[in-house]
Amino acid sequence: MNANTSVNSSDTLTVSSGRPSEPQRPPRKRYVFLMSAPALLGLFMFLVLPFLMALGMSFTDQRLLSPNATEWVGLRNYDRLLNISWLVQEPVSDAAGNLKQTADGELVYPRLRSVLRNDPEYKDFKEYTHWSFDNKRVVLLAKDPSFIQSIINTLLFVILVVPIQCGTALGLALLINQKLRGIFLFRTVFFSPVVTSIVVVSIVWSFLYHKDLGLFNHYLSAMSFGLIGPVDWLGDPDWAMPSIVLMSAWQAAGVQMLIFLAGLQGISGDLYEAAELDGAGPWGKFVNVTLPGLKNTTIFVVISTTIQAFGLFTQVDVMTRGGPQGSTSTVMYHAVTKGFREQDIAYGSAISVIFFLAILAIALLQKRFFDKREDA
Amino acid sequence: MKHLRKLGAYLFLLLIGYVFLFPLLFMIMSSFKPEQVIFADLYSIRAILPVGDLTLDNYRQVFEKSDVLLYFRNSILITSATVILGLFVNSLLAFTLSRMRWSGRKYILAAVVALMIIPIEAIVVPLLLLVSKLPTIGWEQGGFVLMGSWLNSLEVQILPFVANSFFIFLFYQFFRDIPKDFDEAAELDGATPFQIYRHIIVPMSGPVFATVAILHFLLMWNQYIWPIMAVQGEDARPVMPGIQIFFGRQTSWGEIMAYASFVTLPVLAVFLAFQKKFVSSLAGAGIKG
Amino acid sequence: MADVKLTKVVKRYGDVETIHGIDLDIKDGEFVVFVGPSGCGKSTLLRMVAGLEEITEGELHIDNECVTSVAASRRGVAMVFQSYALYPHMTVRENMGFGLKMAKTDKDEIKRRVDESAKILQLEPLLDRKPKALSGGQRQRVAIGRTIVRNPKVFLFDEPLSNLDAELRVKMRVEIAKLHSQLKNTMIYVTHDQVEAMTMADKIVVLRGGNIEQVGSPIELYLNPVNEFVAGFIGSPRMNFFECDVISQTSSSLRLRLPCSTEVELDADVSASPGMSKVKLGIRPEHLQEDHQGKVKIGVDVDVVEHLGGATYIYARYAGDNELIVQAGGLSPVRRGHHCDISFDLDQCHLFDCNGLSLRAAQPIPLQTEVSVQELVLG
Repeated sequence: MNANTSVNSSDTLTVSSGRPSEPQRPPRKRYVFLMSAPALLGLFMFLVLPFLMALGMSFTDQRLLSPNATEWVGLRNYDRLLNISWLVQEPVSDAAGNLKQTADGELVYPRLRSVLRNDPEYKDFKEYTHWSFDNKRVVLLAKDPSFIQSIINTLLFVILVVPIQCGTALGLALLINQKLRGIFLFRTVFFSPVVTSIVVVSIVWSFLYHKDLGLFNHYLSAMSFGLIGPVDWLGDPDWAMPSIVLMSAWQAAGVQMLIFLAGLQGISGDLYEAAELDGAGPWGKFVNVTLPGLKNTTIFVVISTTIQAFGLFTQVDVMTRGGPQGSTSTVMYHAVTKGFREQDIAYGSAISVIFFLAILAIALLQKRFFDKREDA
Repeated sequence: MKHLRKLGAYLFLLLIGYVFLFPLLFMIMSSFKPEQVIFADLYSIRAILPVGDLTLDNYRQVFEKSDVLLYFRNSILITSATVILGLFVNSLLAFTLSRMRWSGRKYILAAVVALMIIPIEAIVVPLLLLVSKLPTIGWEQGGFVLMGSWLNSLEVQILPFVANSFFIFLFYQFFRDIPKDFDEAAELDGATPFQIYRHIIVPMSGPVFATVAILHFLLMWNQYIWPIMAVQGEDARPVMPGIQIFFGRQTSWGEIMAYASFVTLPVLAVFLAFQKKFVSSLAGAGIKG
Repeated sequence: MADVKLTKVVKRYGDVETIHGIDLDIKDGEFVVFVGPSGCGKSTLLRMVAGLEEITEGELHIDNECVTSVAASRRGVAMVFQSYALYPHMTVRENMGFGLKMAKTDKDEIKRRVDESAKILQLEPLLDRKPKALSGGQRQRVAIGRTIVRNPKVFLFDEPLSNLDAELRVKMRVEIAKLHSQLKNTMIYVTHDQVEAMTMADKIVVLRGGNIEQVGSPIELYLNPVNEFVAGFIGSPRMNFFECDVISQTSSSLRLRLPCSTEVELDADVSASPGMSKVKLGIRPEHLQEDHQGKVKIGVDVDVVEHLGGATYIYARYAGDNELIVQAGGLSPVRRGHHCDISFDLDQCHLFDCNGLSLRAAQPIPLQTEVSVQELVLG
């Protein structure tokens, strides 16, 4: 029988064979390595590594193509992005102590630019915005005012688009969850914008939003009997972002609709029958059965829509290029403008890092918020 | 009463359907109409009907003014290469994660799940620097040479998007639910892990391969932010940056609509052909994700 | 042909040990059944033999060859899975030939061997179907056919009948038994169903909590269970137990007071355990008689009566709360609510000490076991 008996220990088990030794097949480990390596390499090279590079480069002055050596600059990029300050200005008065006024009766303040230039504390700051009250003027300063505006624009987009898009999606899902003949046709129709590229959609909608020829102004004027004049949807700083919100929600709602639909169909019919026996009407059933049943789906939809919304870039790039007056510039748009168009990779990386941290924080916050609501 | 309610439901659905379908139909119909007709039809139902003097002039103009066929070819190459490589690479990792026992498996799985949250937007800027430093292997004077950077190539649009944590996760979930008995039976039958993948798991996983293929196709065909950064020249430009540049030239609307229709055609074709599969796969992906 | 030998086999998952050093010899051509309640480790043990679970410690020999860390496919074993694990995308023929294909066997040879095994199991008309188009019993047969094609030294069965309905299960049981007598290979069969174990096995291995409780032929386990667990597990309906006070004991006998205060005296091997105060008396339902032919009589209150036609199960209470099952003849006149007398013979009683170990001397085992198993178990 066996000449060499194996030892009773898991790691020193030896194969002893009555037959002459057989060719050993490659061990499992090699298969694991060979089969998982390509994807892991891809993820590492093109996701983890760039992310770590962003982190590292955000502390340097790296440029895309530059003859100069890259240097560590510490937190300078972050300081430039996030440093906010303010100052209060007194109106200028003449020798007699009377407040100077312009011809329109407005108060005159010292020229901001010279004030900033002369004060070392405010050297790199620029005006973001100002308010006046009580004869004084409060000026909000930032080192990169357009980034601050981009943050605010992005938040505005998210706050508007998430409820509109998710609400639309839920509504559509409820609509096509009805048992009607040919309902699948409508499902296809509602979903069709999703498969259309957002670039194409943005171009077509640019036409619909056109000030003179566009369909929106035509309907607006028709419905108000000409009272409401043409709105320059994409050219008016107040309207440009809401216009992009509307289009974005329209384009992407189909995805969330399908997810909600799957959630709706996952709710057991027994629950509705039980609710009916308990005397619940359609609204009661919606509130007590449908909504609780969609809880996990809603969490997923809201979080994923939010993350997606934060990355707003393409629509802006195609439709408005961040304008008018910076009213549609977003964090991503700013990052690409700085990091790519102006070749300041380090600065763009710092924006990417802030962008990622914001997404992470919001995803975690939303999850906690939804978890809490369940406890309550 | 019941019939009335049904009628109301249909009318409402038709109204909403009109809102969702109008831009797409308008785009396609307008691409066949001369500029004046587009505006003449705009405010009536004719805007989305193939009526009047239809012409292919817009398309002719587009092909003349822009190298759209080249962009189209580039997009086809990029998309198909990425999808095919992606199906293979992502499902292989998912296979080792879901069906083989190895140390570190749990950590890799957790990492893959965590990576799903990083949107492409968060890494494009540093990725640009990375690929600008990567050398490519070219063929010159009868030998392989290392050439400049990856910028302005097709591979710069393919390789970074092959491995995808979300798709790995979709594969993982599907594979995980296949009973382990199949693998064990095959193992007893003498199959190696790769043979189990190839002969047992892949043939049983048609639905998830279709899902991922469709999603990956959509993702790649509609790439925009990355090619506008990584591809400056025309040689490797795909369709979406192409149409954006064309749009920026302020040519006629009819031509723009023709261009838009042309680049939307493949997705629309795939969508209509696999309509049912498309919808169910996306819904499934969402629920599980 | 192949012996299987397990030596001090241990299975550990991290710090949790689930199999605690099993020693077992399986002779060439034996039909061995691993039986035990769920979680007893019987499937793990089988999978360790198959090579699907690593053997943490100890050794496994198949056909005098140490295969402890040899890949599953090289151990010369084939397995029928509980779920059958028929590849849904392959036809029956492809399913059966997959192992040979993996071994790069010549195509004609594959065809020949598949046809041959298909003939044994009468699968020929099904060869071009997909598993989806087969009935449960047919799938089961294909799963078995797949193992035959590979011509293994040892067949392994992991609860192969548990997905079938009761009628089919009996039929397949017979088919597997026939197959064994035809092929004469070593077979190891795992089940939680003691009837399957009793009817099919040459040798039963009763497992509990990762340990072997007893190994023996069905009749041996039935007549001489070494402990209370085996006594309760083997036999259907379950053996009745009740506690008795020990009045006095000698080295070879015990005097007991039954719960109903009747005193009895039994032969028992108690030399090793002096001074017991309580023992458990076990008596199988089929050894309780509703007539009065037995030596000992006890009075019971009848709760439920199940008429099965051929037999009658009487569920009764005895001396307070001791529950009791009596297997009576098919036409028993006993009715619910009756009070009646039951009798039994002391020879057929089992005795267990406080640790559950048997106290009675082994009974001689009749020679013609194959016939008598059915008679004993099924009445």
